[in-house]
Amino acid sequence: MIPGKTFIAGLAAATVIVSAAPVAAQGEPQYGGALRYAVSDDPANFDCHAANNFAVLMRLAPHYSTLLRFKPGNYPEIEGDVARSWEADPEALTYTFTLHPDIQFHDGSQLTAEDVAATFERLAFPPEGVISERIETFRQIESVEVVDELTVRFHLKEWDTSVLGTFASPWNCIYSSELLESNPSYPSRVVMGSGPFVFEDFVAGSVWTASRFENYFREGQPYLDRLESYTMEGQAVVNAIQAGQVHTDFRGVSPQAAERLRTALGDGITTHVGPSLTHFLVTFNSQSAPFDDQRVRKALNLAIDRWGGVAGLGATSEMKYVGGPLMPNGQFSGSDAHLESLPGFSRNIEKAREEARQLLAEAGQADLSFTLTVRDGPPILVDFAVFLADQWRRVGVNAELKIVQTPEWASALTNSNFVAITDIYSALREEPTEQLTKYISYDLSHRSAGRFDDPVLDDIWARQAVETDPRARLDLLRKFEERLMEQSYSLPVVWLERSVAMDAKLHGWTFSPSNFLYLDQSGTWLSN
Amino acid sequence: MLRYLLNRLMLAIPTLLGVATLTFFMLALLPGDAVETMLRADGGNPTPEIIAAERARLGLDRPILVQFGDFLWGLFTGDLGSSSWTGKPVLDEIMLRLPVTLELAVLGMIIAVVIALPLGTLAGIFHGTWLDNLIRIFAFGGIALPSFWLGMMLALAMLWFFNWLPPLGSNSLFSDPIRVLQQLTLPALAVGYRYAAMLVRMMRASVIEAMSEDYVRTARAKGLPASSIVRRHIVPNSLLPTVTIIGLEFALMVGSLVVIEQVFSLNGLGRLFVESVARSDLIVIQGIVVVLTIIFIAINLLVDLAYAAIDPRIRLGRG
Amino acid sequence: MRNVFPPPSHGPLWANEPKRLPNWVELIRNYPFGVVGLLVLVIIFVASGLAHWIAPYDPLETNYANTLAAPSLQHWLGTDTFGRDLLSRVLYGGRTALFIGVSASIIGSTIGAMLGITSAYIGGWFELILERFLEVLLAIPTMILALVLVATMGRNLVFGIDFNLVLAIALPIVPNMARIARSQTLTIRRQAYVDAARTLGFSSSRIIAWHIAPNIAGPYIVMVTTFVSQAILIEASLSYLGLGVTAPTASWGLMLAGNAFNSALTAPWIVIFPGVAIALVVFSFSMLGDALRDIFDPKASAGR
Repeated sequence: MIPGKTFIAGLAAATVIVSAAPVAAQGEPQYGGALRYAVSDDPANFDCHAANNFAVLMRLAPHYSTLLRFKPGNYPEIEGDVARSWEADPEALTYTFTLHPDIQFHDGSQLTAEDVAATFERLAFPPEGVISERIETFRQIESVEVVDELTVRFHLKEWDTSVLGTFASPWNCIYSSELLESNPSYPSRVVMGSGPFVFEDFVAGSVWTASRFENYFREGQPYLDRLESYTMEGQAVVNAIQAGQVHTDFRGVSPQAAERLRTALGDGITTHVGPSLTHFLVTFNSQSAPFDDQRVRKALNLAIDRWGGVAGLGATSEMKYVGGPLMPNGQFSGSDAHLESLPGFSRNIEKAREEARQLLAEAGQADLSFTLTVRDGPPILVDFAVFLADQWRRVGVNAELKIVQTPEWASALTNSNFVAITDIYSALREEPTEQLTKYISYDLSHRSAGRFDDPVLDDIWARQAVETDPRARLDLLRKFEERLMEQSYSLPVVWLERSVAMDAKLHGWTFSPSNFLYLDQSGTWLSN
Repeated sequence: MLRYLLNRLMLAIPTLLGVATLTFFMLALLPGDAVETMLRADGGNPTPEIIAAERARLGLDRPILVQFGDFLWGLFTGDLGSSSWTGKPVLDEIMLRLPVTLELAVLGMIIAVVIALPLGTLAGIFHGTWLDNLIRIFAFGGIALPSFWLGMMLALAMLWFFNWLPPLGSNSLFSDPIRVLQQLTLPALAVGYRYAAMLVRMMRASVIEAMSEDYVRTARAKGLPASSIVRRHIVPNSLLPTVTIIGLEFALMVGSLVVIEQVFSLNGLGRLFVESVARSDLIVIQGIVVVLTIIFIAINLLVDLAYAAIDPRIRLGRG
Repeated sequence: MRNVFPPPSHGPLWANEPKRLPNWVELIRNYPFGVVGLLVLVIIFVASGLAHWIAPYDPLETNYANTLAAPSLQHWLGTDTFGRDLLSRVLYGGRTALFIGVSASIIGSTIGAMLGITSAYIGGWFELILERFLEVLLAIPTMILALVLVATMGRNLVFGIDFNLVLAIALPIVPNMARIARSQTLTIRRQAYVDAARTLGFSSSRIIAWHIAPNIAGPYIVMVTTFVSQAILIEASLSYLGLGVTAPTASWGLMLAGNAFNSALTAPWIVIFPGVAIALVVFSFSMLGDALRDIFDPKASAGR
């Protein structure tokens, strides 16, 4: 059986559409209307390639096309966006894409292979002054070749498991080569793509508006006349949905809030619920005492009652699933039995805590006290830290929370200026090579928060990346988890649930575990 | 009068410079780095080189005194610098939000005055009675209830009973006044109550004082009806000190809207301020402090002038 | 909160107008609000001071099996999203609010009073510079000043209390108190007995300690009371914005922050009780402050 299939089935089962809305209404898309949605933050600038905040993507995605895209209604299947078809050579070292012939940019110019090539060159080999935020995902791209007006070819250095995901990534917006030529950083100030909606206006701190692009290359799309996205605090979102101020927040709300909306609005609300590719983790500074002692780290790992935590916190917040470094019940995760055998995932918490106390005593840290650095962002980040501190309190460890603003948190993380620090990691899709960069040695990946050096762990990571046999790869991933949890440098703690509550009039939007996908609103429509 | 005005203006300049200096150096101590935050907002990992390049681009790598000189010169020429978050001029960012904050403050003040003047007068006239006590309790309530909490409760009540909340988005007072009113009425009520409470106390005290003045006694001795004494003598005389307070309160209110804007997702200066703190956008923070101070000083100046216009003695006595 | 205390130039000081100390019956009759405020405050002080003994639960004790429970016999005020007992958290939150409020107010008022007295007494350059500096501080709106301070100073935990937070709330009080102390001192300095003391060759410090300080005491107490309310409100606002007290410490403002607004429709108790607690304390302090003002300075606050 192909693991991907089980995953899709699992996802379908988990995606409950709680609504009594007539199914027939789902059938025939209707035209017109303005979609209003909440976005948690303003974009600092408008360049997809440099951005890293999904709030930015929520604004930009409707304005741009990508080379490939995740197929609407069929996550994680990939299909062509501006590419009509593509083929790879047997070694998967060259990819050749044929583009749709009639794609227009919003300024009326034609989208050709030149534009695709210029875009990916900007991403893989950014010119001076241009930031390519996810440059490591292009590490295997050797060159981009324009074959003819509608054909573009990529040459890779090595076989790369994640390359199709890179081509389909919504971050890799296709820009106009003509405009790039005159100013390589034009996209940071001008929003001009070939997506389904044309940028209209942006009032900082308030609203971003867009209107239908009449010459969008997909016949009949988009359905909506206008998009209006409002910048608003997380605290206000649920109330805003209930009051009809906005139709939805594509990022999702807490399960409890979704429940409340259902109670208040009944048939008026549709909820999409499923696992999310976002998880919370905590990292210890394993370079200095007390966390240079593996026993101390492991003890703190053992003390966390993950199962009890999600049972309680999951009732009111998105912290819903127990999992290791890879998404639970996903394509690459292990069995529950394997998970429960890992340190820190035992169902028998009393026994685990006993062991934790013992380890702490052995290490001479029976009444350990330390500072946990926490980012002051969405309230759930603080709730997570409160949960951790409470867990550790139960084995006699006192963790003092140091809640700091994002800049201070970020600088603590970069400069390794912390004792322990909480972190959040959102992935675009299930791709272990990419996802595990959070958990390998810092030398290999600057995405990793831990400053440890573990050749064993790195070796497993490197081997799974090039392992062509799926089963062998899964085995390696299990080994990775075992090593990671035993060493406890960085601990995956809880995986989030994504529950997107929306006005029942809203249709055609695809739910996926990732916050980053299906934001272009090309197929979204409003019923009357 | 002109001399008095000039005199007051001259005095305001050192204060403003002081505020600018104080803010600049306080913010120079801020931990963290706006550039870094911006580059790594949600899990990104810029290299130190990228960060350094961006800092250099924004001129943040120069010596602090050079930056300070630059800031002062900018202040002088009406240029408050550019936001390190959006790269746009700080003045633009502020001017975009200032109307919301000012409209909210004005509406809040109107609500406060409408509530406070009659209640204060009543309490003063009937002081010592149950009516007075009732009004005093109402006033104490206004001072005690945190306005952001009151705002929250008002919003929840609207949601509970009507499934309604104020519309979102930026609306111009001129193109769509109804929508602006819908948007601002709840928050204005929440802050207005607080300032109404202060005004009630002021008005009540002035009325009580006025009632013991000679002219009131004379009027009463002449047998004028009570209502006309109140209308012709007490209220006009008590209004004078109260009007001064209204001006001062308005200045205070502009600075205190930070939290209520947060509660109602209003795109005002306060919310920009809190967001800028979260982003360590020093330049915007100092710009806001400077602008709020200018408003504060300007209103105080206007109040002084109004007072001086009414009461000529002041021109000689002060300044 | 400025101009709450009228300048003393309106008339003679309270000290010059000897008044028989009222007995408690008269107190209640003359200042019913003040007495009620005082009583409520005593109850709140005792309750939150003894929170450790009277709170039914540990304020940090979580119970994931019983989150967002409605008020019941086990949990009089219900529980929050962590299953923590709300009554216990409100009581401990009272401790936080009162501690920060009272200490910030005392620190701010004391520094302010000392600066005010000294500048009035020494005069000259010192007075001029200090006056300018205080004017600068006064020109920045209170809430904004506190916010800038909190943001710049970071946190500095001493025995679980963020000392920098106390300072940030205290600093805006300083210039207000300094102004009042200064004008009071200027008035007193002109009084005959101070002149007499000076002619007798008493040192300045002695004159300040024996003659000026006692005369400032009345207004000082009134202002401390008034500023406690202001400090508690600022603490609540800062904590609400996530810049004040640090979780998981119980604080009223913090209890209203985060997702509380979103959860409030399903579990209204989690926002109602902390808000009521803030209001009750500030209400009591205002009533007490008013009464104290009347007692210490009956003329200036005629009829209040």
